[in-house]
Amino acid sequence: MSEALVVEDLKKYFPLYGGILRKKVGEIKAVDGVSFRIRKGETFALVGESGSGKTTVGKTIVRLYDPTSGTICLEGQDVTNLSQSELKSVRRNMQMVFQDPTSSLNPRKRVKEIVTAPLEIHRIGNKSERLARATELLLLVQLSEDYLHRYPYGLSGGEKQRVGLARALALNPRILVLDEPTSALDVSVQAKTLNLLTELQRKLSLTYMFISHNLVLVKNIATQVAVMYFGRLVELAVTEELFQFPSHPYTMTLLSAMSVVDTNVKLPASAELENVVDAGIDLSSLPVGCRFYARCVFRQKVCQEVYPELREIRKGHFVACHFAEDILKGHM
Amino acid sequence: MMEPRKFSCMEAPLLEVRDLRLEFSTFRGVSKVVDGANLTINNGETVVLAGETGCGKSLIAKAILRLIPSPPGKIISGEVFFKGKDLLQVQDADLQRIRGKEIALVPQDPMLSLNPVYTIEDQILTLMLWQSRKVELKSWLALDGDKKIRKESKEKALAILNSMRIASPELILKRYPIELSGGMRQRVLIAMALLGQPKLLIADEPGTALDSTVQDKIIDLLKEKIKSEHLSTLYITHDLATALKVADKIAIMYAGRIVEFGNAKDVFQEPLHPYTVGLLRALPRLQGNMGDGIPGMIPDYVNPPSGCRFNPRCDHRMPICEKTKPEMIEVRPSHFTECYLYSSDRKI
Repeated sequence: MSEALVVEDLKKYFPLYGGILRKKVGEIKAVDGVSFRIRKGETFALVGESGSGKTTVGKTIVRLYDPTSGTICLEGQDVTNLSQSELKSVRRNMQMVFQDPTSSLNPRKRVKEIVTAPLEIHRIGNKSERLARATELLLLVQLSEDYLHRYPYGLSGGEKQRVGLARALALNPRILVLDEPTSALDVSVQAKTLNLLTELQRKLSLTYMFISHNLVLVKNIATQVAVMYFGRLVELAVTEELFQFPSHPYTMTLLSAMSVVDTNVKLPASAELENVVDAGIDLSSLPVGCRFYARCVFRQKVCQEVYPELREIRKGHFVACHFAEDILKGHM
Repeated sequence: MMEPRKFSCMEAPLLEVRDLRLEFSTFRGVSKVVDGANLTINNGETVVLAGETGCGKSLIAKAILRLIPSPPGKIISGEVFFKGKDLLQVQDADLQRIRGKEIALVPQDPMLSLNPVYTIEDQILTLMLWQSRKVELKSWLALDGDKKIRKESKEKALAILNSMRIASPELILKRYPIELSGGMRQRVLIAMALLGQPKLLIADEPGTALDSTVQDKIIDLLKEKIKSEHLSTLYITHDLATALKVADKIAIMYAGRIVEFGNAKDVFQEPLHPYTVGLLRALPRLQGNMGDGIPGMIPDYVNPPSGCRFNPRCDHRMPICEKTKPEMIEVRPSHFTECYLYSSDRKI
């Protein structure tokens, strides 16, 4: 069993209510059929723009949201339909680090209480054992013991994020879902936090699911990258492959819009977006065909009529585009 | 009041900020947030002011326009020369003539900077009226009653929105800010800033709130406008990759002081100040490994470290760094830095 997490055809729809009686009038298809597998010890990155549904995927996987349909298998165990009490034991293996370090820590609790909370919920150890574990965890995320008695407001963004990380690590999970863990941090702190994450992964043999919008960062940390666009995966490949041979027009757009400081690196040829469109599409009434149709330069009639399913065009390289082979050829 | 510095052989700079000091009084004491900043922008130049959160970069922009709320803020000393006039000394009425017309600001947050209860049309026309100096009750009424004025202004608004590559400006004008996407709002704000044909554009992190593909387009658009309208620009950002895209010159700011200033290419290729070096190393790159970041965090502005404010985090700290503030020195032609590592008498 080398797969840590297998997600099959995951869907999450949010209902829309309207009218005087607040009847259900429609659905927001935030995640609309996403499948991927994460091998043990790897860093799987989920990339996409805001509103593409990447955070919803993360939250559904740790079952903070109940999936509409699909299956989630955690180390061979189907966790899709577990009840809240059954989930408790599963959650010991899977934890989440949230995007905003400030709003994800209770401002009225000391760091000590924040970090030991998971232990208390799972009734692990007595008070002094928990405290010892909290100290150990803080050391693990490179914070000194003094932080135990401080409140979140006195910490900097990077320190808060590390407290959040310590809390997630409290139960010795094997999988961490990291939802944009550094997007609220400055670059000098971001680098430190990422290096810490890499070190922890090695030390504790963790599997990461890394949600991000920053491709340059993903290039530095991920082993596999999945690109998401409006609820579906459009491309999935090993990091090197994806950056060298992006084969979905959207991935190419993302790569060409990347801000980089390496002056010697040539970005892949840009797939120019239609100039005027910068709004997305309405998630409650999705088109039948390709969702990228309106912004795509390679579009043909077929794109509007048939949704391109995700298919393997090279070994381990999946793309959802009718013309992926042609685009790929263009790189060769 | 000091006279602007005389340049014998070259044109006077469009904007010159000299030794600007800015303090905020807080309940903990006086917070010295800008501590002697110098900045020069020549005609037609784009200068990027880059630095991390809390280094005071937006405050410099606000001080230039005299928008610092006082109290608690206070400009202690310094001069801001714009076309030879010290903006910190001019009368309020004169300043009104400069603000929004000669110096325009593109604010950071496209949602918070538009009034949510008026349509885009109302907001643009109001701005036009204000710029034509006819803000009286009569003209407000005219805006509603006088069809001719309204039509003319509307045509001008349409033209400028069109030049922002907004697809159907007539529709956009009728909408409320909430009905527009982030990118669209940012475009409207840039259009509004350019309405008065300013000399100097201050762009405070435009596009940071947007997605990367949209941000990329907004920056391209802004660059194009800067070129076609011959604007001089002060571009404020925390993102060095963006800085590299737009900058002619770049000023790196740390804890209320500008620590390095030079041509963008020089600063990126041969950074001088240890902070700049650390910052560039911390950036994720496509090739090679990411560096370690900079240890420590920005200092407390109420009790800043004595001497160089970067000294507690610096790898090259020398005894003198804790004693006195380093002076800005020209290490290479037009590449300046504030660091004792480069002073000629290093022994001291």
